[in-house]
Amino acid sequence: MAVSRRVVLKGLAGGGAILAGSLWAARSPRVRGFVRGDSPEYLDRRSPTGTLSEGELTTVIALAEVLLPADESPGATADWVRSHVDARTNRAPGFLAAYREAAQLLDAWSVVGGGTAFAALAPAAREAVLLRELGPEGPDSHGTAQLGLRSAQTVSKARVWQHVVQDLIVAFFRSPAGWAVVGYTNFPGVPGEPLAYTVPPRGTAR
Amino acid sequence: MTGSPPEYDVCIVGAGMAGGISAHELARQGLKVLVLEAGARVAPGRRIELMQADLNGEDPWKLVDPQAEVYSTTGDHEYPLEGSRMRAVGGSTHHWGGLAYRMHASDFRLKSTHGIGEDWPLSYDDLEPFYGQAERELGVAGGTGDPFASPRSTEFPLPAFPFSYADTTLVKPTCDKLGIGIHTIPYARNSAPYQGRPACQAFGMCHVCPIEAMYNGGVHVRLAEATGRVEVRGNCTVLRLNPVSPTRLGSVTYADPAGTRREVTAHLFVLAAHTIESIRLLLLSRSSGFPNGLANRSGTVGRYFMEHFGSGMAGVVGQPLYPQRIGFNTAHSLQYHDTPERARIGAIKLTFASGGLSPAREAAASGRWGREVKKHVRAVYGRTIAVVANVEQLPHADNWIGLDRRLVDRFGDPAPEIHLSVGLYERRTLRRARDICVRILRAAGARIPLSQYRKYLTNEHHRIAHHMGGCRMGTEPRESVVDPTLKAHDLDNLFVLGSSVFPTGGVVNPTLTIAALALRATSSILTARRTLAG
Repeated sequence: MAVSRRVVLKGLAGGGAILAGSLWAARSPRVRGFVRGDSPEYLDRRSPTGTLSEGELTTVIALAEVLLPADESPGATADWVRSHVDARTNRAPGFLAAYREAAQLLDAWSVVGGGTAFAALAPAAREAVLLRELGPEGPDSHGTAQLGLRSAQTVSKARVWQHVVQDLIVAFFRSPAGWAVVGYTNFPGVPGEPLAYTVPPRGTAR
Repeated sequence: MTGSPPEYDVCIVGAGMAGGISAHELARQGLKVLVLEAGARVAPGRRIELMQADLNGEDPWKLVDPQAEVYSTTGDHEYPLEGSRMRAVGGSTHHWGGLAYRMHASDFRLKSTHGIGEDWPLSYDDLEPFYGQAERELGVAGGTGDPFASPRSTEFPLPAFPFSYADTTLVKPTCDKLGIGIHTIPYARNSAPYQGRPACQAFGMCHVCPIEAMYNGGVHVRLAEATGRVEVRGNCTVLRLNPVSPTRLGSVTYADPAGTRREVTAHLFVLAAHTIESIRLLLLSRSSGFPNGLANRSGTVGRYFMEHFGSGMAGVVGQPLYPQRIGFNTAHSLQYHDTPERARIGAIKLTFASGGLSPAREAAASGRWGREVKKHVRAVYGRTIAVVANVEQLPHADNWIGLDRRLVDRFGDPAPEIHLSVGLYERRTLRRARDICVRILRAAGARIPLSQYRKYLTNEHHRIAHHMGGCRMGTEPRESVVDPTLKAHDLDNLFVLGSSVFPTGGVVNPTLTIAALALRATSSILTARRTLAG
């Protein structure tokens, strides 16, 4: 018989997962992720679902236009943002609060420099606000997190980055416009010519 | 019930592929069949909704089978059951990969050829005609001419899916240089319309297959019901198999959808509840005549449990490979299945996968935004090539499925305990497999990230979820559970289907062998029915 025994008790009615031993828990990626500030626990999953106001949505659309601009392939459009965000905030607990917070912060950050509401800024100015507040690759919260020093501002930036910025970027690249970035018209969820996979996509270099 | 004739000719436990095929074959021969299935039905029309759920990041099959797995795992290998099987009419083939391989002839003769493992009590030649029949039943698309595959007497019913762009432009030239033979992969997936189901339309969502181009066990359940002689009761969990004499089963006890205990009688019983549940049911069905569990006078029920393990290596090349335009791989090599070293190094199956991270994951991993994220994704996407290896596990009595009496399911019955360890044979084979993968990647000009080499330090591997053994076939009743016809040694009227009966596991995916064995067992089940009174 085994010397050690690991019991995994999963989700009986009314129950949750029970992890055997605090040592296991401390090594759990979920715990580490929480400390790092990029765990889903950062979302308040008890908060209600619902729809952003028109003003909030306008701000989020303005954000998406900068995060995912058009270049040689289309960027994020207002219609796409509206559709994605609406589905997200109505179906996934925590995201309404996250997107609402993001809209408020974006306006606050814009006003700080003597500017106006985020959505009223020109694209280059919006980009400057994001570079200043979030950096080119997201806010660096790792160092302070490991020391246990987390200001409310740091936490907010981490939440905006993880659950709004990343949410928009990942959703975009899962959409037809995102796959168009790499030249695909047929991708997971969208059927195509069954044998198209044997040759490069049309319009790409051979 | 005492004194009344049995209600059915055959009662089948489990409406997965094996149970569905068996029900269909027996009903076609005029038998009245009841199939009891713990899970719910999946209407074909629901699959689009399930695909959408998958695209939204949800687990679609949790919408069909929301029950959480209750189990414990011991041994040096923690064994997660989640996602490895499914309670539903149609069974686990709702979310399988569709790979439809014949086992290699050598897999049936490991002991006599190499002095390891066991011999099956039947040969590949005995099973070969039924492999052909299974390929026609499932609709297998494949190509002949693979020099490392076992011989075949019939053509594939459907043409093979050809090599991908990456296979043609990179994998094949590389493997040709190295003297490694590659070939197309056989799939139970329509490359052309077949038996009322459409051809694959490259949705790339094979985990759900929204149009049933990929076979699932629901196909045979529907065929069985269409005979008019098969009744399928879903949401009915069989709890016990009840003997009426030292050699005969009389009934099964099951919980109906409301949870009420009911009993049903039949002349014959077929256990096809997927490996771990079939074993568990036998162990739960203890009685004075079977103190160690039904059909377990040998003491081997649950023992010699086997898996396949997976590992592999990946690298990055300079040219785009245009992956992810179809949901499955299209090239494999069986060259390392049966080598002269098999006594030391197990069978290895290589599969070639281009892909890596999707554009969404590349974008997320980069942490970039704006023009930079699009530029980055264009530059890096689709340049990953991976060589994936499945390796063989030998049967060991110390790998077993038992009952954990400290943990109970929603019916108050002990949960399964999975005790699995990875032995020296498997570890050596994993290491060899990774060496081969590295050799191929280097020859392809791929840059292999340093992080990949950590797999050597940890001997990284993962379970494939091919549950095999535990009710193994054999001619000796003291050492096996079922005979070569899949009838339990200890009982006149119990047959066991599924991969629990495998004495060895080889290295290829077991589903086609399960189907072939189920078809082969039909004549024995019919003979047994004729022999039994009534």
